[in-house]
Amino acid sequence: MEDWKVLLVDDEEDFVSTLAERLNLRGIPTSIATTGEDALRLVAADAPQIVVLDVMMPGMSGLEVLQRLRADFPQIPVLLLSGIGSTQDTELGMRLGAVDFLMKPLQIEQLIGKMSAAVTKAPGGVRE
Amino acid sequence: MNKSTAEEAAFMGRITAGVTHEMKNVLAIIKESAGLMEDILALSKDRDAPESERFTRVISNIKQQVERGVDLATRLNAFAHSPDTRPAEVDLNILLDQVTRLSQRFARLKRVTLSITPQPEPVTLLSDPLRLQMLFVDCIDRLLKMVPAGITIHMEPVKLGSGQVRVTFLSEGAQQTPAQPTLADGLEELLASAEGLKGTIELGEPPVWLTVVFA
Repeated sequence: MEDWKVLLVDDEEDFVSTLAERLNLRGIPTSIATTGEDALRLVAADAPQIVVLDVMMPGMSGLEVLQRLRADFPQIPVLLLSGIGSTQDTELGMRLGAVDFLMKPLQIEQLIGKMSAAVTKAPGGVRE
Repeated sequence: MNKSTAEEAAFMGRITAGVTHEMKNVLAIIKESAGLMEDILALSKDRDAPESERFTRVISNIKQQVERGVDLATRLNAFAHSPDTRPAEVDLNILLDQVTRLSQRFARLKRVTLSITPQPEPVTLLSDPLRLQMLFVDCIDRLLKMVPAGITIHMEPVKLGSGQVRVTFLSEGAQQTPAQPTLADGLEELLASAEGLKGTIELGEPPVWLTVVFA
């Protein structure tokens, strides 16, 4: 998993920075973005192996980010973070090409498991 | 329900649903922070120190309370969405579970436990979800005033033949005779007010206090 790079995207900065720290402690290099625009800039500058993306964000929504990623970086799998109140958006996100989704609050082991499965299945996927 | 009352219910629901979403974000941050403390503790050189066990216990409490909060926020969110679609197809297994959990505090103050015996199959009804919950909470409220402390009130939804659905409220260990007028007063009216819903309230002797049959 040291070969991976993960990009976490969520407008809740405390959530995303704490989660990133936990992933980094587990040897998974993780960077963060708190807006859709920042996420797209970071992906263009240094493409991660997977993007974990909150569905509901102010400004550019998670679904807009997802569509842009699918168009410009189709090889990067996108895992959605969903909450109550965003079920319909999550279903739409799955139809738009997200590989899977997780409900917040999440279990870190479950997140790692889903990321691992997605990265391994992705075109040119990285082996663990 | 007249237009202005329906608008008020929809407004309350919209605001509550938004707040529950924010509450879950707060709980997610608390959960990750507790998880990070746990990670740091596991990596610490002093993890065998006596304080370590205390920290682990405190972190475990935080995580348990987060799970409790998430469960409550999820159910409150579902409740807040009740006025969205009326009438709607309702599974009484799910609705009664929600009502039970949201009424736990009232029951706990009376030292009474609420439980539901769900059916393996959905017990569905086309009805007004908000009015139905008002009816069930009212039934629970009335029983809480009548039953002694220390007992459990069970609720059981059952699908009958010919499209009927029955919900039974019973309590094991209750000895009192139900004060029937108090128990029944106003419930028929509340039942009749639920849009597209017909039914009857039947009173019984303990342990079966109340049976609501939806036609």
